[in-house]
Amino acid sequence: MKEELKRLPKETEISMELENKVLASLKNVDQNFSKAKHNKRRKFTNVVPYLALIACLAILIPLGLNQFSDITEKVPSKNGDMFIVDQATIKQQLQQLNGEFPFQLPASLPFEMENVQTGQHQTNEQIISIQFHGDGGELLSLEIINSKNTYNGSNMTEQVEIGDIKGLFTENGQKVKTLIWEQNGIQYHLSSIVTTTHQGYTKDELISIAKTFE
Amino acid sequence: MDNNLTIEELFQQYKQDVNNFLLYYLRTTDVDDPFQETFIRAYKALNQGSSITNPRSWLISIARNAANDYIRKEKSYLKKLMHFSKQQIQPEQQTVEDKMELDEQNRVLLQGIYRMKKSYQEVVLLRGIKDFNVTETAAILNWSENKVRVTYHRALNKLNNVLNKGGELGEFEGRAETPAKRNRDFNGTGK
Repeated sequence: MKEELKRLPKETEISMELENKVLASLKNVDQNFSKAKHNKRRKFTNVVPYLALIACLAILIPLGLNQFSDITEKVPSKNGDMFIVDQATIKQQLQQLNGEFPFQLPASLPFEMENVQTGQHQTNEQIISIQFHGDGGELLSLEIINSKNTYNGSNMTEQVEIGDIKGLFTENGQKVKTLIWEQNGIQYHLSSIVTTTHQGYTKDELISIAKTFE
Repeated sequence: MDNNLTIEELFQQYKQDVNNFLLYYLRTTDVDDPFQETFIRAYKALNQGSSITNPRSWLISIARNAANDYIRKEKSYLKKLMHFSKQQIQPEQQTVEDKMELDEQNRVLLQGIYRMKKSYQEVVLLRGIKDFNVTETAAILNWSENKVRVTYHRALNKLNNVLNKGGELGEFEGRAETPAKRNRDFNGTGK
């Protein structure tokens, strides 16, 4: 019986018309697939405007925005492996900017700061930007947003706990790791940025820094 | 699989194989839609980065799913047609046997296969006619390898039985869905 079955044809010719039809439909699928991918990208960027904002800030700030001023004074006080942040100097610097509001700053950071840059963005919401530069190439970016719009995250964010506070963590292509949380109606976006001389900080390290905010 | 194979290369390499499978599986010469659908689905899967180890059995598996979807759609369409238009369906002019230019012996063999239940038909088609091994057949049918072996063994016995008992094709008419019965049903006169 097996031999008899093997005698039945195993292949059947298709018409040239059908072949052309299928090949044409595959080309259409190719075009639609490219469009779908393009639309998906656009949709994605709409979903995470905050992440886009962070990415823009991360790129623009190192290039030097006009309204930023440098604090070149070192703040070398050691506290274990952490270095005390001179909050008074930073706040003093920020007082010169318009739209001050009550916010917290890290009490200490895991590196010795070479300089701190502060600035404020001209948007509808009050946004303060602070960059902490370490002498070993470390770079932390902090955005403080005085906004009542709560960011609930997206499928790209992971829920984390910062002590009693619930926060969100997201990673952007391994180059920027961001921790987001809200306290007293103010949003904090703390980002660790990979530089040529420093590999950046981990999620747990960012959480540790966030816990020092006061 | 050679992961560098493009959909065009897969198409050129397996188009006759897939077409042949669909002809047997659907028992109709009008397989253009499921044939096209098979390669569109394959292309989409390739674009989504599907990992393929055996392109031939992978394509036949897709073709089987496309064929089953096609059957479901056709059934639904024909039901509507019967209810609302009472339109007469013309009997198929050319049979699969004609298209494949089978000799009398092979026609009897194929009709014997179609008289068996569907699981027997499928395993005979894949193992017996299309020469897939047990592992490949199990993957295509989503069965265990043991089930493939047992079912194939039983199907061959049954086929032997059908052909020997009979030779008389009419003896089993009514159990299996023949084109003639299908056409009667579509015309609303069959039970």
